[in-house]
Amino acid sequence: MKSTKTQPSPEREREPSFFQKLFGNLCSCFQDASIDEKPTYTPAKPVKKAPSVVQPRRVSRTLRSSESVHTNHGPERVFESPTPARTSISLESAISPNGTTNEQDIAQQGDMIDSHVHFGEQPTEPIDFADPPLPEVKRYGEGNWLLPPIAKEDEGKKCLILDLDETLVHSSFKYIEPADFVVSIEIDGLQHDVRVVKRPGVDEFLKKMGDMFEIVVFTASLAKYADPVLDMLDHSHVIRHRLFREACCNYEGNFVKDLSQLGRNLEDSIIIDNSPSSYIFHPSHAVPISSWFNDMHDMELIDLIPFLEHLARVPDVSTVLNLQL
Amino acid sequence: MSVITQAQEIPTVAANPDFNYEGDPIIIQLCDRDTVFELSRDQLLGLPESILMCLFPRGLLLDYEIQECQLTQRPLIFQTADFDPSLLQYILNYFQMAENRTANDEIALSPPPPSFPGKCGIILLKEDIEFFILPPISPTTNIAIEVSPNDLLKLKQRVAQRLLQQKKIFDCLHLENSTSEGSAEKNLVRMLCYSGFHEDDEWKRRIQEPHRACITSVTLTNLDFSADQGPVSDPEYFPVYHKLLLFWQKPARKCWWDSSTSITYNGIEFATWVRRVWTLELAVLGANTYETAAV
Repeated sequence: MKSTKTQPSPEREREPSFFQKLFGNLCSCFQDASIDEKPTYTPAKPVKKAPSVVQPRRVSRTLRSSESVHTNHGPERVFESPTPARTSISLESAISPNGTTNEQDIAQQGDMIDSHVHFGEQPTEPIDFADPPLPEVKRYGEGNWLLPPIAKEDEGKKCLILDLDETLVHSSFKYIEPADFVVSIEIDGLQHDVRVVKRPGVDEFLKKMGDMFEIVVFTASLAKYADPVLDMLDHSHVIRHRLFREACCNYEGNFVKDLSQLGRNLEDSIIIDNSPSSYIFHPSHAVPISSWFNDMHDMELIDLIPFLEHLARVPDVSTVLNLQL
Repeated sequence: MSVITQAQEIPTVAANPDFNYEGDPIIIQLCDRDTVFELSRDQLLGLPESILMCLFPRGLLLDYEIQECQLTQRPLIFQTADFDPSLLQYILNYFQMAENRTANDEIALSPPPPSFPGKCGIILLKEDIEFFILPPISPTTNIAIEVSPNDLLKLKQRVAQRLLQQKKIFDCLHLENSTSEGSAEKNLVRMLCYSGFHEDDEWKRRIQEPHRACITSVTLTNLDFSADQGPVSDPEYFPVYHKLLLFWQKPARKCWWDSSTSITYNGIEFATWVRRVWTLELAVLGANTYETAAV
């Protein structure tokens, strides 16, 4: 699936964008999806230098003396942020295909919005990692990397690091919403059903990205929630590695994903995350994506496929993704 | 400026509507880049939520700060996050003029219907663009060609200039190519045009962020109840402003990736990818801003 190239002209081209084409005729999308085109790499590609060794940033585990170790912060702790702070309305929520929306639908839409479990990107205060204690993160090799050496089948591929919540899926405890799948997890001795909805296009996105990238899911959620979600999401088995909260750095109260600790060349590393604070260490390696909650018209994952296909063949991705002039 | 994602469920600026203070009126000084704005507490609280999010991404405990300043007799000065001062000036001026008209009971447009929770509505539409330039793939190596940093800089400057000149608000949606009458984009434009926008409207302010491949645009429009072209006399009809009330204090966002243009430099064609985020919000004047919108 190629993006359209047009001749430049002094005025704005009228040819439809990739998004518009896809939106106008979704059937053609599925037809194109069957064409499997893998990028080929020349065998003469020079050997890449290993990334420079950096000291891993350790998460503070000091327990504040004023807090009890038995403080219950609630089941939201398994998600990326224990503080529900953000909500959103998709622009389409007020617009139905026939152009009108009756009052009942509007009221229900408002009610559904309020019933979401909302996860803020930026906790209002530093996370107390001592409750519960996080597992020790696995380290590999002399550099103490977060990932093992790249698999033989992925040699020559760039590394695509994907966030999970509000980037690929949205999760809720509320029964009111339809769910693509439900995972049952135990939190503080109680069983909870988490209802997971997939962002539109995520299956096609993962399948295509798996062909041209080494895919790593890097989430600030806990493994007890994220592992069963990924087990169901990754039915094509394209996700090579999973990293959870213990692999994140705590920087000014935010979970930051430090790409320099992965053990991959930075020029070959791309992170897609709805939270800019997650990639504050590496903004030139980030592809921004909106937070997703319930907009079934969302096209952002599908729109990103041709962009990433092109980016996969750029020697240093930061030359494209750097927004500084 | 990175695109801030969603607005908070709790207002960005924490303030008690019943807050009382003694003494002289409070003057708040906002330091935005090298510009200082002076405004009252009510003016600050009257700004759209999505703008407050840009100014104070980590929130602001306003009344706490007011009390602290009164106790210590120091001036009330806040450093805002990076936000273009000319955009903020345009927004402040617009809201001040609207507030003056409301206070003087001047009605330039048709009066609001009884179910509208205020005297006047202002629609905020904001666009944040980030653009990316990708070099072509060499047919021999199947790898993108190398571009020198200087050439890349010139390319980005050219693309920025071209984008800045595309001032029509709705052209980027490519409505003329939409094959579906019920597309989300067409319905969005219809909703806005039934509320006071026109299809050929231009952005009132459109600026490039300094030294960044980012462009920000803002337009404010008074909510025009007479612009609704629907069957308003039909009791079954749901007026457009009811839908807009969904966006009162709850800004909504939509994102498009657009690769429909390219740019040629030294005979080489480069792909241009534009990531476009729209923020839509309704502000209501003459209402208690902490009431829940009745829908």
